[in-house]
Amino acid sequence: MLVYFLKRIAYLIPILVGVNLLVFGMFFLVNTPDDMARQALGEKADSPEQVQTWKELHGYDLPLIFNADAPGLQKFSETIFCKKSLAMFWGDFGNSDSTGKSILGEIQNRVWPSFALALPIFLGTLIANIYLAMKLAAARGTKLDRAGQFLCVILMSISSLIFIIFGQYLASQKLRLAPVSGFATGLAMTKFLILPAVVGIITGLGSGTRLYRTFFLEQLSQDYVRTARAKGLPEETVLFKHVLRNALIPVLTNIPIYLLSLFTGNLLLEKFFAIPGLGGFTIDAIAAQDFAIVRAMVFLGAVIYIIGLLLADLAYTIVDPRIKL
Amino acid sequence: MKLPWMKIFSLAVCWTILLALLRTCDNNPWGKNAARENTLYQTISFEIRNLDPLAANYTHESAVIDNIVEMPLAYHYLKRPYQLVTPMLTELPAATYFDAQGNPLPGEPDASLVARSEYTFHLEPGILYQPHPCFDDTSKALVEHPRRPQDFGPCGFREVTAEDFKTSLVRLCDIRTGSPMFGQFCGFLEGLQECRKAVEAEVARLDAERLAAGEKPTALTTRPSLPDYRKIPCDAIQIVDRHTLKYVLKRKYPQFLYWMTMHYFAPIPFEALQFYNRPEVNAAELKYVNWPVANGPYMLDKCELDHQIVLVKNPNYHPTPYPSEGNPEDQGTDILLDAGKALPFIDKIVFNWDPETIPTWTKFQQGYYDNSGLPVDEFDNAMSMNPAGGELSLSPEMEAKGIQMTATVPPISYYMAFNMRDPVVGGLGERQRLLRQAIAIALDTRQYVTIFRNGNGIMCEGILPPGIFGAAEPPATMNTVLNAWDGKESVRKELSVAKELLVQAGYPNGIDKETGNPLVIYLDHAAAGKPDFKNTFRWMADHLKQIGIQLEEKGFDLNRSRQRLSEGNWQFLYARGWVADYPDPENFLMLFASENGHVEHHGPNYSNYSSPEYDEIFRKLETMPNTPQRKALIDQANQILYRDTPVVWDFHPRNITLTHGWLHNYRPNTISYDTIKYLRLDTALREKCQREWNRPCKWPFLLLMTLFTLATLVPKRK
Repeated sequence: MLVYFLKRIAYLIPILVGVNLLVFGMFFLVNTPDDMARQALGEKADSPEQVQTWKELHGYDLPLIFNADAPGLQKFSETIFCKKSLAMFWGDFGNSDSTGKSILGEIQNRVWPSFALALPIFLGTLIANIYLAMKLAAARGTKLDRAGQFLCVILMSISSLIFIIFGQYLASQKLRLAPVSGFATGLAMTKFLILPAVVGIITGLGSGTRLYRTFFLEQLSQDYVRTARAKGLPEETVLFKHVLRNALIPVLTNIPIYLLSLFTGNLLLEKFFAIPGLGGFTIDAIAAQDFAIVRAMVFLGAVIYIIGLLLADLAYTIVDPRIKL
Repeated sequence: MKLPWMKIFSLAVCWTILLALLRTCDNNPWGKNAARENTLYQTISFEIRNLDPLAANYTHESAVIDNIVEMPLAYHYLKRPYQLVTPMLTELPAATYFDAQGNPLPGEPDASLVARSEYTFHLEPGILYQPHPCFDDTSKALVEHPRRPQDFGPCGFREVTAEDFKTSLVRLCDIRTGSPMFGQFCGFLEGLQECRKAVEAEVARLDAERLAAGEKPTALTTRPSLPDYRKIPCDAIQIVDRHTLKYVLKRKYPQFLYWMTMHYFAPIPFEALQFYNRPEVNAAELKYVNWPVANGPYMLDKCELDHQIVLVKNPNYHPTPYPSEGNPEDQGTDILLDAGKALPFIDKIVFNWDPETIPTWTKFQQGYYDNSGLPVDEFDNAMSMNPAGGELSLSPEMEAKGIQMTATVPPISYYMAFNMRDPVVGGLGERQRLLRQAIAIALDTRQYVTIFRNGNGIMCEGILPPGIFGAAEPPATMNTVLNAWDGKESVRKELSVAKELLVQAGYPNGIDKETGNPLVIYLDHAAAGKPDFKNTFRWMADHLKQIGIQLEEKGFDLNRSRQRLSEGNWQFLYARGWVADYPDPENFLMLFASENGHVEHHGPNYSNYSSPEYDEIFRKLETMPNTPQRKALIDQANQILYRDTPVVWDFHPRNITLTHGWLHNYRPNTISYDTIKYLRLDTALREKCQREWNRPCKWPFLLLMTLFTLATLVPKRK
């Protein structure tokens, strides 16, 4: 397992270099450092001298990936790609191009609001999806199953924006039980997180339940289920002990995607509920053409995703001892 | 019967949790006793990049900064038209003029004779900066991880001196400050370019010294070198004594005094720059651009740009009374109730980041924001048409809540520019002029305002908005080229007139007589993602189609659009606007002066209009006081612009501000934003209203829980 683990960690490096190159290429295909400078300086301060000074101050006065004028290895090292993107491998995320603040510091500040929102959504969605999917799978072919599936399709068809707006209308305007948006630190944050968390859970309910239902249905047709029932085990035990454990592998495969949102934030929810997390941070950076933040967030996302996949692989061996890594 | 104790216990736990939750739940985002506190709650909907008075350039940034800094001059809070007052000075500065030989010129000389002018500012002694650790040499971090300047101590303060204005101006010349005003100020202040060079040389010297001392090159960007701005020569400013300074201008420019109301000239204590340049403060990521130090009525207490900015009363703010006189109609009204009382009235201001319209509007309706604009989508819900006069008024529901509406037409002009360098629509030739006039007539902006802005705007006659000296007053001085007087108001001419103009221009029915090709006009824009653009474009294309012109869109991102503007590589430009810097016609009419051409001079004349005839008149009226002679010249300038139609005159927006009944003394000021100090809150009324309007509705949850309890406890049939 250790060899497998190390091998996967080693894969991380070329993947991250590739991701970096891709982001770098895509960003600078549509933007030039001059564009970035003009965007940051605003319409009234974008004289050629000010643009040049901005580029010098922010390290964008170098060639993109090849410095023909530099000697030896500096042809590659004295470039924007090397200075900006590769520096992230040794933890140097640099400073934001638009605000000048340390990106690592910003991430540290914002990761907790994002995490505080994403964790209850992640757990709530997971538990609700598994429970409902199991109930529907157990009632396969009945009216309950058909009604449940119909409801799931409805939930999937509605844009998450509608859930947000309706949630804000119902909970804050009509029932007057939750603030419509905002954030606070400490325990006071609970008040602001309940509504977006509930909205987040409901938004993910339709697709998750349907997906998990198919996983469980496959297991319910297995011989071991018939045996367990024949032994007279209560239905709840059959479903939530035997079937669930065997259906966990495909469920686990899905988890890294959610894991990513725990750290990188939920773009829409954070924006509409004014939660100062990483989702809004990324959106604003894209709008402001802040390459420093965009590349850092993509880099971080890739790392978390890969680690998530690795953890999922490890979890496979726990839920199914037959799997060897 | 055996009781299901496990179920009962679980239900009891559920009931306890539900009741505890319902007891604490409410929709108040500020906390239980917040309404009782003397705190104003406002929203920020747009991203604030920095709070550096020299660099911040957007109105939403000014809305915060102008309450932190105080300027030598300001506008009278109540009087209209706007009048200058002197909050920091002993008297209103007067100009002294000199000719090319340095001889004083008496009175109000002709601008062409003036080679230099001087304004002497006498500061009131005893005006103090806010308490701040930068003013105490012994200050150091009081906590392990400082996050605010307040985490350093002890704090000190000192008097504002003339030297602080020099620090500010020389720092503005430092290219690293990124001030958007440098180019414009070079147009009238003496020696700014030379000053910039001197700053650059000093920075280079300091950088070289640091590198020689062994610092890494990266340190120069993480903690930039700080030159002593006080010692760098700058011809634009002279320090006479501790409380007297002189600004030196290279021409006659009476509008300079208006600039002195803006934060770009705010005094900056050099100690503050030194403080933020200290290694330990720099390491804590505290910067002047986020934590300015100033002498205004409020000071920063919290600065989380993506969440909340909190200002608290500056204890050192010099005694300033609420004005005791206003407009004649203000006499005997509530707006003068606080006359003579010391400002500011409000203890704390919370600017809360709320980027979306729906939450902002909801919070205002719930009473959690004290004032608000009126979102376009909420117009029908909030407003109703007064059956008697046909005037817009608040809906009965809003009136019942005690909400008050203030409608103002700020000095803003929107227009759609023709590129005067374009061979088809540009130039001063008769053919192009008639084509532009035809297009402008076809685009009936009155209809546009009715459809897309709920009628909230006034159709432009020309560039000058109402309230600015020399603005068109239909029917006497209306734009007769595009509009006609229908007996009540100015309206666009009929489409038949536009068609006739097209015939005269050689485009009968939109076909080029010379080539036989249909006429296609290309609309440049950077609004592709904006929700209203698609409909607006369709409306514009439909209107032009009626006279035979085909309109095609060319959408670009903001950067590409700006680049095309700089290169003059466009034909017809969608929706540009100009917000007055100060209430003087020169600030609008200069948008068409050749010297401000965008392609050649990087100025705000985006249409690149260049007319010697117009330039001559503009030069005459530019520096004149508001006299009948100036009015006559403005009329002439307007007539030239009407005739040449370098832009489609669009509209002046009408802003609607809504305030709750507990917010007193609100008077819109559309030029500056230093007005919160005049506002007063009735916190008892606010608390009462908030409580009444936001009583939690708990019964649906109790009902659901009861049903759930019954469903759980009632035995199921096997």
